[in-house]
Amino acid sequence: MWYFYSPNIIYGEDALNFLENIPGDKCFIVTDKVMEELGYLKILTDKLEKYGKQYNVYNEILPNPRETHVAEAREMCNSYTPDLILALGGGSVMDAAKMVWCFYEFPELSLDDIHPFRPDLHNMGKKAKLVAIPTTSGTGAETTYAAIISKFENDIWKKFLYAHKGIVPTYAIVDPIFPVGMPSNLTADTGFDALAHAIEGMGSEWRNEFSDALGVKAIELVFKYLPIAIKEGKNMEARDYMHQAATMAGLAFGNGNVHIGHGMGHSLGAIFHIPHGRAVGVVLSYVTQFCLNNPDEKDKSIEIYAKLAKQLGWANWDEDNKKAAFTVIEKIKELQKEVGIPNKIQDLGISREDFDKNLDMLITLCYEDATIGMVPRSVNPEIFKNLFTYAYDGKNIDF
Amino acid sequence: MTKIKILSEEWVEAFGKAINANPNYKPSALTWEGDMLLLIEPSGKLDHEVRIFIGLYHGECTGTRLLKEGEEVDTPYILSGPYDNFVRVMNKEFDPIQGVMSGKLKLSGDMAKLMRHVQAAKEIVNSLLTFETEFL
Repeated sequence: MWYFYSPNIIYGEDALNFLENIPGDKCFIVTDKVMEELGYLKILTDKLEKYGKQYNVYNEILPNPRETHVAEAREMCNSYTPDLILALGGGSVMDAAKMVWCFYEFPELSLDDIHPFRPDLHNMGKKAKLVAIPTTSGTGAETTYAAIISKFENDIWKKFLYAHKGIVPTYAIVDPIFPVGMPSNLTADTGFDALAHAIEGMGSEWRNEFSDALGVKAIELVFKYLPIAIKEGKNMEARDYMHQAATMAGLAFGNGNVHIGHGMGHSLGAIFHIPHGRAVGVVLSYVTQFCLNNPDEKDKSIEIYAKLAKQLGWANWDEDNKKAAFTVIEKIKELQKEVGIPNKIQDLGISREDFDKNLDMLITLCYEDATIGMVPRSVNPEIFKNLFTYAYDGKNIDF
Repeated sequence: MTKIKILSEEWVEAFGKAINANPNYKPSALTWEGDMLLLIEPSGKLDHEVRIFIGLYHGECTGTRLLKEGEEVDTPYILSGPYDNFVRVMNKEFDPIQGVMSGKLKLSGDMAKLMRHVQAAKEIVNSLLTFETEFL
């Protein structure tokens, strides 16, 4: 037995109009200041007013949401008693909103009470439904049952994963009206987040037929439409397909998980404050190569990525599997170059001195990340040290 | 390599030694504190319940022991399930966390702490694969 969890997904131009059909008149909006400044909050509230729905707004969520923000929003939500919670923003907002929803439904819980094994959280949605409205095309958080929240421990804000199938949003409204305004660097960062979800997801130990199917399609769409979305930001077709790709990749990794690329990316983000998509994008080719170099003959990474390369026309069907699989690495590098994602950590503006000084902490943080357990090869600190160092220098993984 | 009969005293001892000999276990469990009881329920070729104590502290296995009938231990974590499902974990059909999430195994204890040590759980299973087991 395994699971495939998904929200009800409404996508494409004018998807936001579906709000009219969702029962509930009292809405609590979780968002951030940027959404307000960009006018996105107004787009949403105009719709709500048109449909006769009341609303209250919490707009203090910051990137890498902290437990303190969740606590503030929780208090406000619980006193407002909404019947709809709307998350408008990127992954940080949607993750925070999942926790706010959870604490609204179960006020007696705290963050550390949320884990995948408790049965009561399957009973979410008694007081309110959660509607996730992503404004970037990458995070996939509108589809997943996990939230990353930072807690202050040992003098550093550490990112922790809180997960339960019950916190999958009730609805995901995937309307390209929002990402169409993204600047090109954010488009590239978030696009590579989606790509990392799909590519790592296909190699994860928890991969399954459902996640694979969505992962392949997401990869195809990212390779086709990310360069267009960057060159022609207002191209609605490219924006729409990239938005769909991110949601598909979210479903892929939400149900099959990601692995050490995300562990390493979270570490880079926590220490050097690198945007998440760029951090996982930089290390993607290295962790994929690490998987392809697995000496275990039973490992399926070569077979999986060879099939991907053949399905996408990057290799002929009669091509040797190993050779075909390695075209995936080359394709990642080509796309990085085309859309401006660095291929080595040093190009993120991190000096050698800073990198060396923080290398041990980067590794320590990887071990606190639940995703690393999904990689098909055993890892240890020496391997992480080499992965980070090779990725810093831009060397091919030869171990 | 000689195969060791599963769930024998010798196998339980080898299990503990294998955890400590696994270079990938220690770094994944440096902050882990909590002994574990494996409660293996009769199924397939196992016709009686077997209980195994595993002492785990800061990346070390402090000892393993096959519990005698009626012997009580108080451990913060208990992993239980049918024998056949434990064998499937050893055959890497699914990992222990997947086993718990899919209801094939049951786990009691501090789940939030466990979620920070997924890799450690995986390496405990990998340790079991470093010596040959004769199954029932």
